[in-house]
Amino acid sequence: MVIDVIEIIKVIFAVGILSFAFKDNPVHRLIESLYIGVTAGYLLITNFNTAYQNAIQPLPQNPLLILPIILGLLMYTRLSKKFSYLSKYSIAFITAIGVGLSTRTAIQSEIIAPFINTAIPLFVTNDVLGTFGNIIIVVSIISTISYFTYSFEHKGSYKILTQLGISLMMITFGASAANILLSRSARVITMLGYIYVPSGIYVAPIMIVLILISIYPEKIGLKKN
Amino acid sequence: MNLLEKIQNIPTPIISVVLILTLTVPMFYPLGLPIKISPIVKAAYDTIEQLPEGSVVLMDYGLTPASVGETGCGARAMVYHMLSKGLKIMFIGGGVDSPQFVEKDVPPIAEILNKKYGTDWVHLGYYAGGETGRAAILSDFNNAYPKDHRGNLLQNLELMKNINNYESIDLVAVVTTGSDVLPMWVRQANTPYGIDIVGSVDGASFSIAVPYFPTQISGLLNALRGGAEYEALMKRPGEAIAGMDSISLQFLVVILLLLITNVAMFLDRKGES
Amino acid sequence: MSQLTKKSTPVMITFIIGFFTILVYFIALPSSVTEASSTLNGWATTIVALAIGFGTIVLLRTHTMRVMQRRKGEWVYSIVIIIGILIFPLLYLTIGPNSYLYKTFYSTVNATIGASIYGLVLFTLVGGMYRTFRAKRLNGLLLMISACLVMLQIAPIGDAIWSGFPILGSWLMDYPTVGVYRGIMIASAFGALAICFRTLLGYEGGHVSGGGE
Repeated sequence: MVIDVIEIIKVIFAVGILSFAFKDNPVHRLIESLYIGVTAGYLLITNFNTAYQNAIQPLPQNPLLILPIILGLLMYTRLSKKFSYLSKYSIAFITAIGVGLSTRTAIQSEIIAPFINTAIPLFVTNDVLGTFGNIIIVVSIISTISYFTYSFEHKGSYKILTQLGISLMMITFGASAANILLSRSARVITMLGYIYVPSGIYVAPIMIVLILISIYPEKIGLKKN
Repeated sequence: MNLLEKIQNIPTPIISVVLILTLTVPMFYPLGLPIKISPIVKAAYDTIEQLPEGSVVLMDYGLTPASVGETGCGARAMVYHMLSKGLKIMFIGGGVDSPQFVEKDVPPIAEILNKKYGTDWVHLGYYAGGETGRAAILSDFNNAYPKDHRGNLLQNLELMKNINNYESIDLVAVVTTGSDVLPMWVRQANTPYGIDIVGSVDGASFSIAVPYFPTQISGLLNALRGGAEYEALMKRPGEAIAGMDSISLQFLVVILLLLITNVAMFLDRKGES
Repeated sequence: MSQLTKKSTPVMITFIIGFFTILVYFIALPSSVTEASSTLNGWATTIVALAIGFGTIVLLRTHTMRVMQRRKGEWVYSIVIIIGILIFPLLYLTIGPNSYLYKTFYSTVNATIGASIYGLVLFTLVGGMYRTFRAKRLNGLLLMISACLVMLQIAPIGDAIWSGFPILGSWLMDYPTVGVYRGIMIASAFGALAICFRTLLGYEGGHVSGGGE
């Protein structure tokens, strides 16, 4: 019995959300509001628990941990106009650590390594597609970087290079669109999996009727035109 | 509006109904099409296969409610592979939802394979901070996690007794839908410490992550397709292989829609001129 | 003094801690110094964990005001949001996160609605593809052909129709896509490095602007 109730609730949520694909309606907005609320609440309590375990609980053994606790709580001074400048100390600290960590290895991983990986033989024996592909990789990198370089005006022969870059980018974005479509389709399969259950046979039609009533209340006389 | 114009202006609700039908029909009438294995997925499989028994894997199990359908299948297949090979796994999560999915997915797999919590796998839990958090974990596990997700002290867990930092890790496995997560792991694990990385990512992140293969990332699973290929490699067909039938029909319909629309556009222009 | 506390000190904190974090990586320093850097990393994690709750508090405040103002057409949804925000903290504090009810509530509400909401993007995506993938110009044609070929590579039905489709689709993913995204990676890395160093040197004050200047 308990499992059936949970299944029914899942069908209600899934059909309610899916109805937005046809028209915005109050049922969808209610479910969406519930999701916004529970996600925010879940985020709050999970992060507070992490802070409690990492800093507040070990505080007696390591008194220095009072510093990150204070800095974390200083963020909440943004709620006050008079003391909101104190939050800048927390933001400065987090920014410094984040920027430092990402910068120190970015040169090696995102500039040097791609260049090294691109040092490939342009002509591959007995492999026409491979040869053409390697040439395309080198041309793609040069033309893409040229397109994003705004130090020179894109004119003349430089413009030909950047236009080639745009065409290659269009090929790439088409490929990306196909992968994104795969990704989003898988999510809808999951959604449909919540609906195509035994309870869904009778719950889904009821939900559809309720949603239609909420979209068109004047058609059944609930609201005057 | 003539027929050609109608074809070029199909309302979105009608497209939505068609999409739902194309995804639904194979769920009840499977096509059973074979899955070919791509080199990038094979590389991920081989990377895990080549690790000796007892190797330690750090798995960033970044599943979310949104991504569980696309990357979850590949993630579970990888976990099964790793545990069946006798690898030791430490699960961490960059998202608040991660712990829920670890606790839901991993215990049933561990039970099938007779793997013990604390000895063969541990769930360290959620960590805040994104890239900062990952760097903190790799530099000192005991500092980052005083306790595991279940409330055990790390020193009481057999798996964690000799693990202090990145030096004990043989592989990082990443499951994510954020396009910046895999580059973060490359910056924090592969570039400074040379740790191999395999990943199961969503479609949008796959294109962005492919340039890192094969030197910085050893293998990659592309959403549901990657999960299906991994299930085929493991010879354990599951939800991913079943889902690819729906994807097949849907992609065919989308391609036909695009072709018909473009043909209608050309004919319309020809008629006008 | 006001300028010192409100602007200069945060910028100095960014400069000192940021460059310290970078230098520790490139220069062999005593272990006590590298441990200090690890400690600071750990502190940042705690600060972020505490700071994330700020967004929820602001959301709670905003919607409480909407309920009090009885904003037409919105206040009912605001009540639902407020109830939603309070549910998980209450469950956590009363029955704990490892209880069956907590996990069931998560899988029934968060997981179901989350999976469904993000699935809606498919319909907008296909609608957008349908309207934009029109071969009016060469670039539009390339976009469409590339998308179709990669779709036929991903879907097993492509191989069933013609064995050449997976080869062509894989070629597109292995060569032009890799080249272009490498180019984008390099270009954006240069830009990001420039922004990072400007931030550390105090030229980009965006992260310390606002809030009682």
